[in-house]
Amino acid sequence: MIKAILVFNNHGKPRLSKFYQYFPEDMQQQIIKETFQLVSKRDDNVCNFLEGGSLIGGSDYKLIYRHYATLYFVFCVDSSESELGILDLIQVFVETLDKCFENVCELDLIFHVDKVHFILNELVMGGMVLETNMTEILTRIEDQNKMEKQEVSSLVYLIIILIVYCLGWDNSGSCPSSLGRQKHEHSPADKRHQTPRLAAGHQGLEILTSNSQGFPKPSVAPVSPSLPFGVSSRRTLFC
Amino acid sequence: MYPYYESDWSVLPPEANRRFNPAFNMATIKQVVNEAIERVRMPTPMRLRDLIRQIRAARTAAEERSVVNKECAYIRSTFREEDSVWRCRNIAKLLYIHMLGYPAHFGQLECLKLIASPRFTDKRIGYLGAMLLLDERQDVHLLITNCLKNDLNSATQFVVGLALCTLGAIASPEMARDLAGEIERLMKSPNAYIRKKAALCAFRIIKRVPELMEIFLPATRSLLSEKNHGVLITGVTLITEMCENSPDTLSHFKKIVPNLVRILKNLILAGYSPEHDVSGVSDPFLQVKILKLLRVLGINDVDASEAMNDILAQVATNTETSKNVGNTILYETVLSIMDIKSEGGLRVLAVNILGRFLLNNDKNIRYVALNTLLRTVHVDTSAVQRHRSTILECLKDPDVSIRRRAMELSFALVNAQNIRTMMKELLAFLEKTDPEFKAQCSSAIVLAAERYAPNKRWHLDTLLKVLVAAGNYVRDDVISSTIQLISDSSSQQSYVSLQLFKALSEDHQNRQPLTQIAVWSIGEYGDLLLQATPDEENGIVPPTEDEVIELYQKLLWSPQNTVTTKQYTLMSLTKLSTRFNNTNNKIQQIISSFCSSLHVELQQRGVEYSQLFGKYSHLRPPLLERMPPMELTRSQADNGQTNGDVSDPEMRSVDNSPRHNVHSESNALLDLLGGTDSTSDLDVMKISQPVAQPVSNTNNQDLLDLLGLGPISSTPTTDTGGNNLGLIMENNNSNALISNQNSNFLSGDLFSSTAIERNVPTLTAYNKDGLQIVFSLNKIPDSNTLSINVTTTNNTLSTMTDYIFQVAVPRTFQLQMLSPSGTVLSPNGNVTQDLKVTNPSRNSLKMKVRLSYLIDGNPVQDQVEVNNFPADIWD
Repeated sequence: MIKAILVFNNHGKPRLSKFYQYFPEDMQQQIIKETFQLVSKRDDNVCNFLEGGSLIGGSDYKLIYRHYATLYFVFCVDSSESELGILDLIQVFVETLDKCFENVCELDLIFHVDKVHFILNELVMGGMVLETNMTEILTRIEDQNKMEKQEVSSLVYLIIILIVYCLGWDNSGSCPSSLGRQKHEHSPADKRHQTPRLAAGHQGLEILTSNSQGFPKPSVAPVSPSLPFGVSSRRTLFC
Repeated sequence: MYPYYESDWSVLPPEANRRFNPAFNMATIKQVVNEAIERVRMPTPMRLRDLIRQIRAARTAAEERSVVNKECAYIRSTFREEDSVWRCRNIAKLLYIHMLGYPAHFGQLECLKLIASPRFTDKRIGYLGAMLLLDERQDVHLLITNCLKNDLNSATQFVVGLALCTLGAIASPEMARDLAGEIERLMKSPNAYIRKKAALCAFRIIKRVPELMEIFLPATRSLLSEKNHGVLITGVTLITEMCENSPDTLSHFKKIVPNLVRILKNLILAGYSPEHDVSGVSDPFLQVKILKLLRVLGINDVDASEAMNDILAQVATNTETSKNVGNTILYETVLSIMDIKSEGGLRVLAVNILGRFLLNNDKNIRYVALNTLLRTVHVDTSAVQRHRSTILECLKDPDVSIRRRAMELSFALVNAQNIRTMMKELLAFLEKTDPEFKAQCSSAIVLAAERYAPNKRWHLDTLLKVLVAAGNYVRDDVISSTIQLISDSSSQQSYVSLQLFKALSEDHQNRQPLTQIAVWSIGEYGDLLLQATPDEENGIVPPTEDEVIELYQKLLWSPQNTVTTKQYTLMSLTKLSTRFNNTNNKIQQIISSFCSSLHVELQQRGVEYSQLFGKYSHLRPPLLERMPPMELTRSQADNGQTNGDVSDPEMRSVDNSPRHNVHSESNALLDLLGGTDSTSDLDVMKISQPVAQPVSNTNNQDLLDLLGLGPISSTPTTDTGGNNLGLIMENNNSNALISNQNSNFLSGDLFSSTAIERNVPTLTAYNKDGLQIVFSLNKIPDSNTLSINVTTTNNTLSTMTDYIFQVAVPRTFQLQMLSPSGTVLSPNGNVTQDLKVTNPSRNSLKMKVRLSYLIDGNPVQDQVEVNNFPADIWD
């Protein structure tokens, strides 16, 4: 069983945390911190399994992680899960995110935590694998997003029509919008300059999968040093 | 048709929610408009996006905290105002704040309100919040049950999906009982999306309330005839859980082996299907799950294993291994082959696959190979032995995880034939390894050396190397066992003390265990050290007396040595005064300088020992005479085992009590005996604190050893010096004095030393999970009292702590328990405790034994009845 799924960046800032076993809030933060300390000190050319975290579950428990560009995806599992299988699952998760956000990067995860949670809920449920077919997951997510959009648009529609017709209200005020719908709020160009993509550069997933092992080496993607990194790195540090 | 006519898209509050309705007239439209105006007029709360921006813009942690606190305060106030319009947005912000590690529990109730809202957007966020913020430890979570029930009956599949997902994540036993019926219905739903989620919900329910398994059985069976892979994978997960839970269900599901084989075959043979393809392999996740279920079904079942042989062979040969996914499947196949009763040929194939894995460039594959070999090493050692050199190679791997596995595996492979070569590698590993491994590795080397040592010289050399390499990480039991070994091997004593002296003089910085053992043996065998044959190979020559004393001075004044080590050193130095001829003055000087030591223990010793140089110097030689060879404590454990073998099989049948009543109430002990005895009032005694008493035979030995209180048969001690010796004996135990006539006091049986001559009947009271309890019975003559010496031995490789041993006897008996020698059982170590049972009415003795301990952090409790005491015991 999967006990927890944690995503944090190279500085240990949590980007997603999902626990399938109950831990008090402060304990959860401790687990994230400890996991980050364990995982971040490992080289990129060592194996992706790690034992010895003391907080969850004791001896019957392993950390299985992959490192993509600026993010670590860590699954804490017990001994009933196949280690290699979980590695594949992380890959499926990241590829799904990539398809959903089109060239996913850390900023997507920051601004759309709720969406990431929704995707994760279609992939893993209660600590067990639910669905591994990417297309299926994406269609379901799309369908649900559509439902939300219709609710919102119907509301907006109603307000506009009625306001204009009945009262002549100036509708320049903001309307209640669904969460995280406006993905393009931060312009794509802005996004590209701030954070290196998870997938290497503009070639995206192609590079991820064309690796000889089928899956990318969990290595920091070639972040070109020419990126205007000075400002953005300070910003990511504190958020 | 306008969308707002549809119920699911309705934006209105529930009371105003209507489908297409002729009453949708101007009046109601006006009402809606007024509501809408209210929304727009109210100050809009910050959007999630803006909050995240603000937090990101914070340059210091304090700034971030203030942004979050401000927003939290605002969110709280909106919650109070019952503002329902922006609730959804506020909860979303709260969830983000929660992820950052700030408290967010005050949003729990708001999540419930969102869940009750008819809008899908609200529900989605509400359920997400419930999953993240709620848990079964809070009563609030029960309020969600009703909403879940409603949503499980919803017509919209996604609403049902959300409810199922939440239930699968936070179901408590109460919820599980309430909703099990709904879930069972949904498992038969025509919609695959709902079916797969319901299956995992059932999984969770069974995990929480195993009794509910029954109602899911029929629906589960039909999940396997499914085409949809999502349903299949969850169905297989559910069946695996059921089978692991109850043996009955396991045999029920044996029938499905052919179905599983067929599904697996289809997966392998099926051509490319874009939906399930993961780098060229068709749905590896499903394959892995099925292989795992086959393993569960095939364990210890010849027929089922027979049915699987073919398909496992097919999977093992047909899977393409250039990608990680292929290896995933192969890995799972190998595990299955090893666990079920598979054909010999198949096993060879599996071990060969593991061999290939070991040579793989990918570290992950190497890691799982080592892991699997470790699991199979007990089944087929010779097959694993073939890969020994590769495994030893992995000890040098830069990766900690691989090194740890390789180390464990190497120790499992050590045997009498390869011990010399293996130890060379392992000692090299011990020298270079990280501190975290040192304690474990050194203990394992010591154990292995003890079991397979070809001769004593080699054994001692190995121990010496461990002491040098592991430094302070050596566990305490190694010290005492090494000292025992040295004292037991008389032919090697001069050699060992020479080697120890060499090690000590080269490097005495902060290796307390080494220093302690070295000064003990130099003190004990100082005369032999001076006459030792020089070790030509390594160019070691025996030291002169002055050199030794100089070294001792260094040790005593080194700030790095602990007080215990200095105590050892002082004692040893005192002993040396009788072994050396020319340096007595120097020794006396050093010892008397400790009369004014700041540390009370050292000062006490200084004062005591200086007495031996002054008025009572005639006592010194007999007091400090060499100790007799010590018996190894480990051999006592062996005795216990042979004793157990001698006792007749009926005695052992008491071990068969089921283990699952681990958590039974302590009263159960009383109740059980109450059945046999009309008055169920029993004497239950519990002694949990170890009291350092000479009844123990291991730990305190060191102290006795230190003082060199061997068989002092020279009587002047007792004749003249009762008072005089008081000083020396003060911090020792006076029992040592009494027992010093009894030359075998080291065997620990101080208590009943008079009866020891009799042939002591023993019986094994308990032998399970590597814990063995042996009673040696001793009738105290001319009384109705039976003295029972209870020896508990730990035959596992882990240390047991917090060991508590409790006994109850029927009321007609009187029970007196003395303190145990300890509560910690190191591997192969033992604990002894004495009981006295008085039987005035001469009934036959029955005893309830209850014990509990912690092993690897897991509590274990068990109880047995001992009623096989020999009938003639009271005669």
